[in-house]
Amino acid sequence: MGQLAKIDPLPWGLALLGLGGGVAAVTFLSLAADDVTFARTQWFAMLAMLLALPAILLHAWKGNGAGLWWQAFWTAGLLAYLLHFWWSVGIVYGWSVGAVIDRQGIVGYSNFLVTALWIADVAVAALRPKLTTVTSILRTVAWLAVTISFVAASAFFRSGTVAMLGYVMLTATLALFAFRVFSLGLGRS
Amino acid sequence: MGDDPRKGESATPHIVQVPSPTNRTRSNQPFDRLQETATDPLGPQSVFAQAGHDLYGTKDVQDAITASYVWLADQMGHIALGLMPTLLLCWAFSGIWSNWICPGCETDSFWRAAGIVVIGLVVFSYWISKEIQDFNDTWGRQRWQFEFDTSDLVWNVKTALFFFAIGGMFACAAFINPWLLLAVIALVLWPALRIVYWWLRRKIAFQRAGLPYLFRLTNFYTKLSDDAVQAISDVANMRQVEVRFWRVVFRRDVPHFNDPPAGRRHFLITGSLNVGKTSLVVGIGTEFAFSLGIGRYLTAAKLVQSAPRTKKDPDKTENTGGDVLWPLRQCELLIVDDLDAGATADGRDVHLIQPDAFYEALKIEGVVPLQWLARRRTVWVISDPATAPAWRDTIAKSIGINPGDIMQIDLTSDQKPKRDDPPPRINVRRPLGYAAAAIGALALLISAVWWGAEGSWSRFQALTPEQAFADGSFGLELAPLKYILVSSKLSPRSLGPDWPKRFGFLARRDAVASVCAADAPHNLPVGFSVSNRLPGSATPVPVQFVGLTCAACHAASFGKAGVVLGPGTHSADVIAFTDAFLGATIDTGNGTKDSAGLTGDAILKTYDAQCPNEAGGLFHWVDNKVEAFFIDRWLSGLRATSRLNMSKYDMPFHGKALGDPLNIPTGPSRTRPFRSVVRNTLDLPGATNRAYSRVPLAAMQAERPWSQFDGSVGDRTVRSMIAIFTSGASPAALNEKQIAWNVTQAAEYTANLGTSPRLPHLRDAFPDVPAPDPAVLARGESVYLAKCSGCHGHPTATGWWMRPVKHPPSVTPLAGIGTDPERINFRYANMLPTALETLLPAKTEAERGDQMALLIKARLDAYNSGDFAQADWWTEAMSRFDDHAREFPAGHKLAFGLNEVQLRDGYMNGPIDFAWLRAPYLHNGSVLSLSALIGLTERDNQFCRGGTTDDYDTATLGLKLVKPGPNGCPASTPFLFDATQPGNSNAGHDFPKRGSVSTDDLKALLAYLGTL
Repeated sequence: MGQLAKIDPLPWGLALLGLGGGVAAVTFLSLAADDVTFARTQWFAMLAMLLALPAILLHAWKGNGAGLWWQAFWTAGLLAYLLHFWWSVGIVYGWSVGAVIDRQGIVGYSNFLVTALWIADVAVAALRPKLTTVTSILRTVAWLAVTISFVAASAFFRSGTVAMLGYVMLTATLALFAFRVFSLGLGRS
Repeated sequence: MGDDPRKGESATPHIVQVPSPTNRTRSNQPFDRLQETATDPLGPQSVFAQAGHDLYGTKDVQDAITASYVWLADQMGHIALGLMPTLLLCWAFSGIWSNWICPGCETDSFWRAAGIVVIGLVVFSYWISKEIQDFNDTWGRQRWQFEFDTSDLVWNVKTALFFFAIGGMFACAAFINPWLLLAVIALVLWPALRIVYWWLRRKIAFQRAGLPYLFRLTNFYTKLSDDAVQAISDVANMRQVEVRFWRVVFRRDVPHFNDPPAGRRHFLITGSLNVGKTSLVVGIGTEFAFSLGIGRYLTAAKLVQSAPRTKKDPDKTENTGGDVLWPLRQCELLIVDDLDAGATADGRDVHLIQPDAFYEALKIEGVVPLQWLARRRTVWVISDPATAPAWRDTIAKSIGINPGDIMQIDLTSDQKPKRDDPPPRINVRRPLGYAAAAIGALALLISAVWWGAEGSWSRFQALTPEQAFADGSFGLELAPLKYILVSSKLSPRSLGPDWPKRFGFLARRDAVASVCAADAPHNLPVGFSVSNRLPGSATPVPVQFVGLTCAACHAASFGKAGVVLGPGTHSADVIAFTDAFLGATIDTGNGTKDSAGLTGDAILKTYDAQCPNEAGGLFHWVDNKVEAFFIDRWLSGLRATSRLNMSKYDMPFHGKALGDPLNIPTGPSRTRPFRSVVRNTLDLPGATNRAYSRVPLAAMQAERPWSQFDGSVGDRTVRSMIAIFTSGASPAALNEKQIAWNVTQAAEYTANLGTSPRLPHLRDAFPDVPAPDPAVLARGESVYLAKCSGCHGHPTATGWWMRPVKHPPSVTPLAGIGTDPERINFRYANMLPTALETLLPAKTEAERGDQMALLIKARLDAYNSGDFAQADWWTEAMSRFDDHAREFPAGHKLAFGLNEVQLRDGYMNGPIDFAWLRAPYLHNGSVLSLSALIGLTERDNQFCRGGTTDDYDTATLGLKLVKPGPNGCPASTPFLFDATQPGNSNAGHDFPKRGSVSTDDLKALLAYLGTL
């Protein structure tokens, strides 16, 4: 209780609010869609992207020590992604990994790998907050994999608003990463 | 402690309020007069006069701004800050609501209103957080010496929130219902006026004290002894009194005054320059004014100037540069700042006023006129502590007390406040974080509950083939169950008083006398089922909808056999019903109060009146709100689609026009399947399509590797799927597990329907019909084997025998059969096989590649033939196929092989077991009986249909012939079938060849056909 009382509830609260509000919005707005299953599958992916966006940008800006806000939105993004995973692999593909691979080919393998990396990173962040060399590498690789996965899935494989979201994510991530590198350079000089 | 410090003098100070002569204008004259006649200086009359004076006849660049004016302007700002963002967000929400969430919905929808209220609450919660932050900032600036007046500040926060809320409520009310705006105004008017009154009293008390600025003692920054703090708190009448909303709104605002003892009523404050003397005394004055005390702040010079007035005009307010100030004589507290006019000049402290000189200056006719101050409260400020004794004597002499009754407080600059950085009184981050988490968790919980409920609304049921065929859901949901149950009351002009009978639907055997939802599965017509699926998408929802099943078209009534599943309907006029139903749902009222048209509320109110036992209670109210939302959503979606379709497909017919064959040529027992296929598959009009088809017998399908009248469709599940898709089910609905199961099971039901389960024979249904003579039957069989069996096969001990052909099915070209050509030669017929075969993406990438190759070939063929429009259509079809492949990445559950749909150039020679159940005959139902078909009797060009389900003629083995009279068809069989119209030809299939068989042989053949 003592430790809990010290935790700032705002990042987790807002991340949970985003997740809950997003899940409710997807659940109820999809009722108006022509194909509810398809709409929910797609929209949960977009929700995961939106929730993970602050964490991705924070990581690009501040690196592995991005803090509580990063952790809260990184975790909320994963939970939304797992809902997307459940609807796509579970409901659409009937938990048939073979069907996923048949449909998506190598992209299917990479999606499974990204999911595993993301879950591992969130678990490590929750259970072993202190960074070690191994967990730092895991965090960087997971961040890179998730970011590339989202950007590729939106900017390159979609069009319209979703693609725009992907381009925004890509631009903002690169800009913050460049800012971080540039700031480090200035600091050293 | 007492209620009023001037007990024994006057409970309310007698003050004659004289408006400032420099501020007098024509427009504020009425307020001036009101003020002049006011008896209570802080009473309603005075407050109203001040507010009027602030708002009329003055400009803030010309006149001094009063505290009351600033406060009023502040609250107007709060209202605007509540109003504007809420208005803006509500405007955006209304746009999203009417365009995306609920297009065409009524603006008074409960859920729209709920959304607007949520927006109002979201905006309001932001202002709450802002006010909490402001409270914390103010709390953080206190110096922990004088008590922090949380009650005042909390009430200040509440007041601001109240006016934010008023703005927000105005905005919400304006979007929900303009009349609600009046109700909100009525609701908030009195509390608002009372709150305004409460605050303006204090602002007036403050501004008339002549204080140079507002300062709260809690912010005082120089260290004082505890005793001094207590004494100053007493003289300033500081007291924590919780201000309650209801007390302010409904109770009198009575001030409470303490009664400091002698020795703690008069103060002499000393201290060098910039040590905080003025702040301290201004703080005392502010606190006193906020407790509704009458006090004054002034300098020594001003006091000397004003002293004569205490005798001359003791009750009149003073005017200084446009400010109206309390008369000194009526003040309970007098603060005299800078008594010695101390200053620093050339590095030396100088004092411009000396005690003796001050005393002499005060005298009027040899007497100092301040003796009345002895029983009140005074605060005097000098800068040099060394002169304090002299000043104490002078002050005591001036107001008629002992010098020892004056408490001296010396301020020194090296005394610092105790603490600079107190923790926030309210931690915004924590409640905000917990509130956000709670809302998020609640939203997740609601979503999870909804998903669980969805599971129960669409719980998979492994229906038997017969259950699926008769009562399964196929994604053909039409309308909410409650609307169907009250439709005759709500839509009598569109549907008539008894629409099942009017449109020829069959009643169930187990029907009971009830018109409520619980008994609906027994009471709906045959072929109407109940499910919890939204029309179109088949999404599970908490509202029950009624949908069509296979039995709506594939069921007919035969004598004592009653309703038989499988045979094509004799009576149902499905297309007329569809038009009438569409017309009923488009009823949006006549724009007056008399008729609001068809709405969720209207449906549910009518239903509740019809089934009063189900009404009442909170759950019912909530249930009705949810149902009304979904019903309105369904109505708006249906109307939007109808409006779009009208430009392409035309308006639906209504009233008598529904029965006119010139409008709807199909009539009972027939459909226009290829108009629907062209519309649903190709998204093209199909208006010229006259491929009218009777509803066939859906039985013994296992013996038919190909089916349809032209033998164009192979697999029987594909036949069922196409029939259901053609009837309006979406690919998404057909991919739903339960619906895909039902389609497969229904197809299975038709596989051996006839033998297992068995269909009735003629004499089962009509036992009174005499059994044919065996000799006649034998003769008939020989005629059949000679003249019919070559094409239609014949029964054997092991089943039905068909002559083998090299490339099944056996099809007689149109030229050979000579029947109506519209079923074969309609526009777009050549596009349909490829379009249907690529409708549903296959399960594997390889199969999907084959489907795409088919589309590419179709595009190339069209392009090479110069049909660029069709080539373009195929290009778009490729894009649509891509979209479908993305929508169904694991393949559609009912996807089928590429060769299951073929284009034919004639009609298929199929088995004719249960021939008697197949009436009327030929693909377009243009021949009523077997007797007419084989040429035993004439084929009538005109006959009347409909109006009854009991229409079988055992003599001719077909439907009863009703000929039209000179005035057309009788009301009992109103539909006129005219075989001379396109698509209705009864020509062709002249088998046995006319004249090649004797009449007796034909009679024998007819008798034999009746036994098949």
